[in-house]
Amino acid sequence: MSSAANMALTTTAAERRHDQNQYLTFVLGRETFALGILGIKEILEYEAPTDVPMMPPFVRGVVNLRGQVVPVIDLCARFGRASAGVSKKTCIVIVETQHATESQVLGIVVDAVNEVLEIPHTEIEPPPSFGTSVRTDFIHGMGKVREKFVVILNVDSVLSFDEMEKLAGLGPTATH
Amino acid sequence: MSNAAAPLENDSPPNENSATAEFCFETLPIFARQIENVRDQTEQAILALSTRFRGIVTSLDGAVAASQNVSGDGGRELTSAMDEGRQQLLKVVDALTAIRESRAALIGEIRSLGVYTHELQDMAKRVEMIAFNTNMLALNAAIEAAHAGGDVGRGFSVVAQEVRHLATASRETGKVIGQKIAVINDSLTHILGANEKVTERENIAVKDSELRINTVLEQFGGMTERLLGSAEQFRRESEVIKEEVMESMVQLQFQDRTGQILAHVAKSIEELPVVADSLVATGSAADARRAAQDYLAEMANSYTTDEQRRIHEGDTAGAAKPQAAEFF
Repeated sequence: MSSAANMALTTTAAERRHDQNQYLTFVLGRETFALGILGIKEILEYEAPTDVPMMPPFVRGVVNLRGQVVPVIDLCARFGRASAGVSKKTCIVIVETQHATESQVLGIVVDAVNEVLEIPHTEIEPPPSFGTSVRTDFIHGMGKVREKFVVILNVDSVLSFDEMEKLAGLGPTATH
Repeated sequence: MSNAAAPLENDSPPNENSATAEFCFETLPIFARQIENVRDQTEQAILALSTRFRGIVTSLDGAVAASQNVSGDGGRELTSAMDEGRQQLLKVVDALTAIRESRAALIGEIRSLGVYTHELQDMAKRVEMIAFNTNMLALNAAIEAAHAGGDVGRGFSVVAQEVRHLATASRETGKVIGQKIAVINDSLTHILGANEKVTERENIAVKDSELRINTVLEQFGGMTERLLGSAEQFRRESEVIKEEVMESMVQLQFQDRTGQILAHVAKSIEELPVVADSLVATGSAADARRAAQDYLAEMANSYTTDEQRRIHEGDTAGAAKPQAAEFF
């Protein structure tokens, strides 16, 4: 009985690990990035966000996600690069970020989504202290995929707390 | 005098007379033979000459007939052959024009294919779009599956993965279709472009052919005219030459008359010794004179032409008044 329960436990743990190791890869500019799949809510076809005044330049506006107002972030602008133009492959990835006890739903504009794949812990290197085009505190690690590195983003630290606060006013936030 | 021995002994003049007569009797046959020989040779030569002339006339007749063929019926034949040739060659040009037209129709069909390729291109793009949407659907399904977790999530994530594979395959297929259509479109464009060049060259070639045909026909026409002209001239000149030759053949008939005269003279010379002998044998001078008169009268009767008779009577101006000309 207890062995059966143990079995169930270990299976669940393995599955959990499996889900945690899954990443969505996407293209931004000329680089491939990845995000943990559990932080992603869904992917939307791109539609031009509604402009909102008095917002920082990296906020493109808001979209309506089934009645919920979701701010859309231009990651290129956030990383201090020129934004790529909109193509038919442009998508909005909806993510849920955690800040202290608050979570915030955000849209991220990406040039194209690639695939969902598994990157084991052993294939993830710590972020380098220099030499990346993205600030290292945005980076969760460098994932090795088919002999190439993809930048695994830490979506929670992409926006500062203050920025979060500002955006929080746009839509409903969940409190833990 | 009637004794044969007496004159030999006593009378020298008779002796001289008989020597002279002897000499004449020996010489005259030689003259006669010479005259006969001349007459013979002349006759042979004139006969040969006449035969030659007759040959020349026959040849000229043939040549005249031949050139009449060229300038007469032959000329008409040549002209109609030229017309026929012109018709045939214009048919060649017509055939070229027909080919050009049917190719233009073909090109029209190819051009209409171009419209279809554009539609196909749009379809291929739509296939890629559907694949893109399916891919996104599969990714969303994978995200949902991860959130669901557990056995359900796992199973669902496998399905999502498979859908994604299908989407990828569709996208690849759509891309290949698009590429193939682009290749077809390129070659259609190429064909249309090449066709334009070919058409241009063809138009030039057809015009050039027409021009060349007309030039050649004109040249042939000119040549035919000149040919007919010279054939006609040749025919006329041949006629003139033939007339001349025939005229000459009439002239050659002089031999007939001269031959008769010469033959008569030769015969008379031959007979002369015999006649002289018989005259001597007649005895009296009066008899001899009468016999000589008879002989001369007989000679005059034996003539076949007037001129002989006139000359016999002492008409020295006996130029021949040619009797009615007869052909050989």
